[in-house]
Amino acid sequence: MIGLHVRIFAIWVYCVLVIPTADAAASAPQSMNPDISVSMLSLYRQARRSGSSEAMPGSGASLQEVELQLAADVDPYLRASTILSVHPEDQPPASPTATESMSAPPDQKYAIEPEEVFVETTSLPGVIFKIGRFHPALGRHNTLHAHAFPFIDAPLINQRLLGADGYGDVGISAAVLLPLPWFSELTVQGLQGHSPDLFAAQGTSALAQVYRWRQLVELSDAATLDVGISGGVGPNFYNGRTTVRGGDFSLKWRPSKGGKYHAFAWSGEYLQGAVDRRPDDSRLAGFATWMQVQVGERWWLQGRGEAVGAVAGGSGRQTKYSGLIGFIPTEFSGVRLQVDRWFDRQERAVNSLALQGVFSIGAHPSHSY
Amino acid sequence: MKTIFIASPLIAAAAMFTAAPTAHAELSVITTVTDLAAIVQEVGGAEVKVESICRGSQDPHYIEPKPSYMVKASHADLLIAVGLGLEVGWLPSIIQGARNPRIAKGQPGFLEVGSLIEALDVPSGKVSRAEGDVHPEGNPHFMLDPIRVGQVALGIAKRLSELDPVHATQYGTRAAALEHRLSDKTKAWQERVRKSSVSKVITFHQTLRYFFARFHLEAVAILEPLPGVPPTAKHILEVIGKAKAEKVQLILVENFFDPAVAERVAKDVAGLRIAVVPVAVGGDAAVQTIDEVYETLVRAIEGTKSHG
Repeated sequence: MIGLHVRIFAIWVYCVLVIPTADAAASAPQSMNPDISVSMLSLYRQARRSGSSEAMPGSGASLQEVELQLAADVDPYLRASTILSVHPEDQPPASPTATESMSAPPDQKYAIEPEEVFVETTSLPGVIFKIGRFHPALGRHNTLHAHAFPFIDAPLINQRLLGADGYGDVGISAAVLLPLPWFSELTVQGLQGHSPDLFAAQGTSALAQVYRWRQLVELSDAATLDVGISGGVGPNFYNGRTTVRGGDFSLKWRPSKGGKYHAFAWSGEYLQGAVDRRPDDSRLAGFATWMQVQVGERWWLQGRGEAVGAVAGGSGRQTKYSGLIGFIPTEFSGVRLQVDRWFDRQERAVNSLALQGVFSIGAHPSHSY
Repeated sequence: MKTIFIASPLIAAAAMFTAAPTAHAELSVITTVTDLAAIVQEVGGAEVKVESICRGSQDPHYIEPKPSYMVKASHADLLIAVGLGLEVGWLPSIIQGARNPRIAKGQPGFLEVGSLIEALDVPSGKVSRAEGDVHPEGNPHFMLDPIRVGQVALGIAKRLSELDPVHATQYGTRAAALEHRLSDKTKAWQERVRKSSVSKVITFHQTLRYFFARFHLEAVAILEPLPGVPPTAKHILEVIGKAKAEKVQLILVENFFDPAVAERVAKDVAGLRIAVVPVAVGGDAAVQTIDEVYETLVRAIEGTKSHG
């Protein structure tokens, strides 16, 4: 049954998309309507423990997410983006963070949330200020939207430390392009703290602070090396302090000649967090590393290995290995098949197979490199 | 908490001072494609320093917006793009990431040369991605028409003159010389193409549309069934049929595409010759000027005189 809020959303979408587009043919390309895009992720997943024929929670078909993005220049000085996410509500994921006691609700409800809603400056030299709700720069992966994830799911450490949906918050950001011959960007962010998993202002005036320093050098015309360090500190839900540190790298190769057909990337990310006074997983660290190989114009082969473990006390290690094959016929559609084998806190292997469809319509900004 | 609010304006101030351009004796120009860079270099002479984002052997539709391009754009006084949707997938994020207000759209430091020429293949009515990778503003590959390139050169000279009035006369003189030279050479190239007796051609993508229009060649078939869609087996058979029916003598394949499909077609059609051609400056080691781009294409057409 579709809830009231979804019906209201549908009416709003009609008003935004259909009514203006009635005149689009006459007014394009002179229209001042924002760039509008919709990205849809559909998912079929089956996960079972080794030796069991019973499907784990979250198995089956689902509408993983619908992302509606509107973006436009506000004026000569500012650009605004609104990204709304429609996704299943209270749906237990078939992932290492799920527990066997979770069961899918009989009546699937959907939630609409502001994933990112912000304005950013476009006319200041050397710096971009951003204010609103956004994905803080805690590592590289946390800044990505689901349809741009290198794999169907986020790395284990991101799910365990930053939350199953990643970490988003309200705040202000300054991203400075440092005056160096290579790309060197320093991002400093102040965040209100609305995350029960990470930072939460408890009536105090203390903001959480996040920083990331990213360097990218061109090794050649075809290859780049991208490295970053990031960190954050702030009050948490348990009246303690949360500190996060991390590092990431990405080595990419795409030849100038024949680059339409072949490419390679090797990436990795490490995150370590301490959520003081949290009953479990108070200190957690993990890493993920993955390789992506374009083997044809439309085909990708990928593999990932990752591990998460408590630094001191808390629950045990989790390790996971993933393989993925992707068929990407255009920039706007793709089908990905991912197999996972992970060993959860009970040290029992879980095998998972997931098939994801990603489809986009409209004018979507390019994804970050 | 207080740290971030104190730090932000300090960071911004530092950025403004550190990002402020030092005085250069020459204008710093960045272009999206190598053809534009070659024209800017000729029109600008010693008064400009120019660099292209895209390499001559790359398909300009699909450039990854590397942050290193943002660094180059951050120092530029002028950014010149082709326009007509060619760079829509990657250029906006480079401009935003460059954090250089001089090159923002609408500023004198931003120029889209597509607005200076009459575009071909402008679709009427609503366009849809069901038609492939269509360009709603028209075919953007006009840099392969030497006459339109002459118009582009004049437009570039005008913008350089606005930014650097001291050297306006030099820019105008060089642009006019380039335009006249290409106009004269076009007549000679047209005559050579006419004498080659090649009139019907197959190509991979619509890249050579303007070139064909200028040199009175007909693209009988395109190997892509739709723009941006790789050739299918069914479509290849249709192309073979057309090539035989129309007695096509030449397939021209842009050198950022795989020639294997063209080779498959040529295998089945007697007398059909393939030429893999650079379609931009720098697309081949031997093609370093805009004149050499057209010369190479004309030679590829003439090459069909000796059937292989």
